[in-house]
Amino acid sequence: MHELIAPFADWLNLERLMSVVRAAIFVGVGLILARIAATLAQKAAGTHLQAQGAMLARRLAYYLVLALFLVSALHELGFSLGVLLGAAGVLSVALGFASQTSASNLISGLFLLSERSFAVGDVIRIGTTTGEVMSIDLLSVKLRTFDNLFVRIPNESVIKSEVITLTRFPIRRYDIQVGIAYKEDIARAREVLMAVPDRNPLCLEEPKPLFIFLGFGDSALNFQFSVWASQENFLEVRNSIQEQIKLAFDEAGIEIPFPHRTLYTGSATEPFPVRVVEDRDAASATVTDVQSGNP
Amino acid sequence: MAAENSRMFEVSNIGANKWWGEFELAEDERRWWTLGPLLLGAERKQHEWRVGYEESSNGDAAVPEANRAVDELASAGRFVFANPGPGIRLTPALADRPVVTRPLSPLYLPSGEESVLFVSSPVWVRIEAVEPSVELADVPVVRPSDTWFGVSTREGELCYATRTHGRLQLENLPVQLYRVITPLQIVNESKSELKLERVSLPVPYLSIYSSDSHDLWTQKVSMRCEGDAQLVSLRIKQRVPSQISAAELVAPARKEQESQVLKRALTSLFG
Repeated sequence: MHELIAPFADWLNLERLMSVVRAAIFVGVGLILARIAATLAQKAAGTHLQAQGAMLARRLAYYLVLALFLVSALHELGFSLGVLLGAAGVLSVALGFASQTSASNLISGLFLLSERSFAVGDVIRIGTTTGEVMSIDLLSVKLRTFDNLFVRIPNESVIKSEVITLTRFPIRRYDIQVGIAYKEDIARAREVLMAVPDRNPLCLEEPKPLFIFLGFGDSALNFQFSVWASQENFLEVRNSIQEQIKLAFDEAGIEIPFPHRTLYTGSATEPFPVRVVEDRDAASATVTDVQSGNP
Repeated sequence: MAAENSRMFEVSNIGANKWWGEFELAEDERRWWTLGPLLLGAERKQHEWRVGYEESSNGDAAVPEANRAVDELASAGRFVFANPGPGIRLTPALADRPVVTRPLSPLYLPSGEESVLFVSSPVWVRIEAVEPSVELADVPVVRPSDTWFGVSTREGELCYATRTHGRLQLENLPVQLYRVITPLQIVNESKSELKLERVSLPVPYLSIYSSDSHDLWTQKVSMRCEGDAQLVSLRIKQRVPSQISAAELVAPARKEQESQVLKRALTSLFG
């Protein structure tokens, strides 16, 4: 027992002990100061940047101060930093190759934050995913979709692809494609359609609703009817206006047709010749035969 | 029990009857008010006030049914108090957003001319319990349509829309139920002709005054168009409007204005 402790006791002379204590003090003080620096940084950044930037500043300050004190502690303990740095250099090259995508995500994230094309709380659409931005982190953007799913999108894909910020502007237009039968009067249909948003107080009176004639479709005359609404009321307008259009058309007797297909016999427009074949006699004859026993 | 206690207030003509004021309800008493298509009901219980409102679906005058409970109205609420006093107060109020008025046909004001336009805006009804003083409802008589007022679809603000005849003479003002009249003075100090297609009235900053014939008015708003015809400065006069005699302040403004002059765009263009 004594032989095990003895070499350890020889090594642990007063000088070494002091340096270990000093190193421990460095680490302890470093932790405290890092915490203080982080809080200060967050407060200072909070007034100038958004919540995202403030969190970033906080983390940066914390790790920077902590790293400084850790390095000093190591120096105290007698580790030669030169060798460490050399090894770190080789390691960083290897890490660099391995973390290409992460680095790209990191840089993309910084660019995204500075560009401010969308912020936390906006609703964005990337590809087919639509959701509310929960956070713009170092490596990815986190979305909450409307069916309450959590989506993580790497910053790289956000930078590279088209991002639609649905809530950027305060009002939004809703386009409705509607078709009416060829036999209907376009002017009358237009009147009926234009009267619908007047009855709906959530549809903005200005910008005025749009009525655009799209073309003579296969089965119907195709129109686009667009109404404007504020962002908060958009969903409600979207649902209510369709109902109201249908009701208005029903009341006015305007038909929204099903898809039509007209069949022609060759180049002639005469109706198809149809011959009705009565199979009932043959069937009942068979039944009678069976009943009478004759085949 | 409640049916005998319910009293109905029919208001037929603005100026004939004063529909606002304080009313006292006994415990378990129910009271109805009809203001155009709006039906209001209030009921006082031992520890609560029940208040409800409903707009008649076709826009015709509302008709209260004798045995209907206040709870059955389309929008009803129950406010719980330890000791509610018997008083309930109805006050007129103006819209909570600016009101954009558009003359039925555009008005042209040549350079150097000035004119006073009488513009009406819809009236809101505020129901408050008197003791303790708590607001129970704030509802428009007719819900006006939303509209956007701004230089583009990117910038601007959400307002209410109303159409106006834009009467220049007081005698020509049609009798309008449940509207508040604002005298709008427009002065064209610019070098070009002013085309008035739409005006945004800063209604939340206006107060309501009642004339002796119970018409509702606000202060005069003065609009000065200088230099650039796009931007105007609006000034709200603090005095009672001169068009009515014996004016009495019925309701203060919803918002306090920070400065005397508010800049507003007179015309807004949409891309």
